Amino acid sequence: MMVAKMGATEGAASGEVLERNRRRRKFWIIGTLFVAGFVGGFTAGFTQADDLLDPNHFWPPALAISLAAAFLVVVIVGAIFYGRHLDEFEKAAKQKSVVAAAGAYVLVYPVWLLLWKGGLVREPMHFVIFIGFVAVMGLAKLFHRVR
Amino acid sequence: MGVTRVQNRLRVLRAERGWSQAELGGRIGVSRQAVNAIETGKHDPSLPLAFRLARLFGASIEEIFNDGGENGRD
Repeated sequence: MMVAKMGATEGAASGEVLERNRRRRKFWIIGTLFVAGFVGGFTAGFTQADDLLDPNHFWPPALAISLAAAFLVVVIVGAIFYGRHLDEFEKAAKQKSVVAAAGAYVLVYPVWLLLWKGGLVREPMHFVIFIGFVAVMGLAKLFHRVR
Repeated sequence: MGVTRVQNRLRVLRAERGWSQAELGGRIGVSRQAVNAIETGKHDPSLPLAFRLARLFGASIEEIFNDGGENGRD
């Protein structure tokens, strides 16, 4: 199917043009997601700057619901559109990076929890754990793509 | 049981046609990085992608890929 499709477009565009277009579409999707994330983060930061990460300070429910809904829409829709432009190599790298991040989570969280129970460190912070998960995922994906 | 390393003639076939990795990637619907990963043996292509490559180069899959076994040509 794909061969027939490629063959049909060969006359109109070379493989390099097709590859460049594919890369450009991915760039626009990532750019849109980045802008959406920036707007959400800026809104939260601008309105709750003084107590942004204070666990005892609660945000207005309307703001929390709006940000949560926007996050779900952007991430789910973005993942669907972005996923359509991933080839099998990129999908494999993505899967490996998720496995690496999950492995890091399974190791880090229990150790942190046990050390906290022993009174050695502060209580595990879900925000830090989430950021760590995403960071490990990004690094692992980068490693699998450029190694 | 050891891991079988699949070798391929993709770089040679591509060079014979004067194509860049991006050119080949565009023709088979994958990224330049994917072509590079296949050529260097870091990624084994799926069967559908192997068939697309075989059709594009007018060769059989075994003429492009081999695992060094009985049917291997290298």
